[in-house]
Amino acid sequence: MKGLMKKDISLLLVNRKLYLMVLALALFYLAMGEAMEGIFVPYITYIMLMLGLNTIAYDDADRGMAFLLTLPVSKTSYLREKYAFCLLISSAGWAVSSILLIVIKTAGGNAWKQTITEFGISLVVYLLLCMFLMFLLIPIQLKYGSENSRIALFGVVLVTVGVFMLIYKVSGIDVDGMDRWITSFIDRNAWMLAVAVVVLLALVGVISFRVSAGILEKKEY
Amino acid sequence: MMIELQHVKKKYGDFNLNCSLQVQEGMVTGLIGANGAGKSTTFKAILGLLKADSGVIRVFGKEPEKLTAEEKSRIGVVLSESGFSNYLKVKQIAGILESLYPRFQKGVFLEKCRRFQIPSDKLLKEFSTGMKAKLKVLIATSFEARLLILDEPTSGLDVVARDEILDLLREYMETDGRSILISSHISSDLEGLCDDLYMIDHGEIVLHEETDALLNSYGVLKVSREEWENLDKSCILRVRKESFGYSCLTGERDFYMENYPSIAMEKGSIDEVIFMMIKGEVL
Repeated sequence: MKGLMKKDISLLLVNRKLYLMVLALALFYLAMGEAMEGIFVPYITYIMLMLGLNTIAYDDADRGMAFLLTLPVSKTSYLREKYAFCLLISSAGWAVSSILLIVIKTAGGNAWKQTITEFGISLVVYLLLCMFLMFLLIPIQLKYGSENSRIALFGVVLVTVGVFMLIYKVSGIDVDGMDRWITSFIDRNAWMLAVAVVVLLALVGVISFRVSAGILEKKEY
Repeated sequence: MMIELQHVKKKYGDFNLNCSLQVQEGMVTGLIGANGAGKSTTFKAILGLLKADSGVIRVFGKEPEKLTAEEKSRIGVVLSESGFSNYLKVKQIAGILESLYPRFQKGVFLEKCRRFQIPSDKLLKEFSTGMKAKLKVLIATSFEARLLILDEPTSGLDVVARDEILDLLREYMETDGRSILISSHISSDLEGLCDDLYMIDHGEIVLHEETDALLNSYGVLKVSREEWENLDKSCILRVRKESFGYSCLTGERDFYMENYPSIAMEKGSIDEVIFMMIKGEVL
């Protein structure tokens, strides 16, 4: 796994100028005002995840996967490394951007509209959402490749939104009432919900890994 | 036995592979055939990169999918159309290999790269075809592999670069207990390197012979129509109609030289044997 990690870190460094641009852009947005604070951390975390996923495209380019699988690694260890690598660099992006946001807010004297707990929860939610996205995207990228996976993701988002819209239209749900009910439910069952989310995410992770392993197993090079 | 294939079959549309071959310890075995004959498919089956429809494949006595990381670390591979990413540098690759192969000698590898004028600080995408080919072989021979599986390692190279690569392989074979399976469509590359040759055509092994036997015993008879009528055809492997009469491939050159001294006989070069095996007719 260490060898593959070194390879992916080396491939990540190919785009180092891009990272500086992304960071500069993010900082610029942040300087624009408080409204942009909410997207700073998820933006950086998402970009880092995409860069991690991009190493699959590098592996695939010029039939590179065929050669990689002749190295002393199995398909399973290749997958393990890929999940670990994507998790590692998106978490690093999340941690760095969170620290930067706290430093900038504190140094700039920006007013904290949220409590520390609310702020902390929002940061953790960003990371969990990013992990969920990772579990969704790795099998899609392995199955459809870099270009087609974006179309596939667009399709998934479109279908999901469509399903929710349909449920909303057909059932005639009272959105405001539901929002109040959800908020109250979260307040009453915060810990139970937190545990449920972590368990659910772990389950999604296991399913994602198994699906990815099935995709790699069927593939011929 | 390093590699053993028994009736390995794989179907791709109209193409059917049906291959049996063996690679013995201490031997260099060549797989020769035209483009599209089935060389790469055979190699991919051996490496577990594709699943055979039927048949038995053994590498170090095991199915390729069941080889451990330690066992895989004793196999050096060159694939003609695949390798490390073009966005890596040699010094980065050395670091990767160091982590993957316990017997990788980084210093020796980088020194060899210098000797072969392969820059360590340039992206592979800036390399010439020759530099990339040399690097692939240098990588495969850098971690004390017991077995090299080389698919067209000299493809697209000029004579000088090809010679350098063949020298590297001869140097590799100086240590006992090592084997090479190499494919090429350039017969002269294999003539001077291989102990054993398999010829593949349309997915089928059409000839298996030791290289010495092939060069010493095979020949092509050039006979007129009259000579053809009186010829003992029991040792003729293939025949082809020509303007002057017939070209006949035999694996018993001495027999015909002794019994038909007046008949023109050409020594069997690998190219000629391939040509006759593929284009000639079976009697």
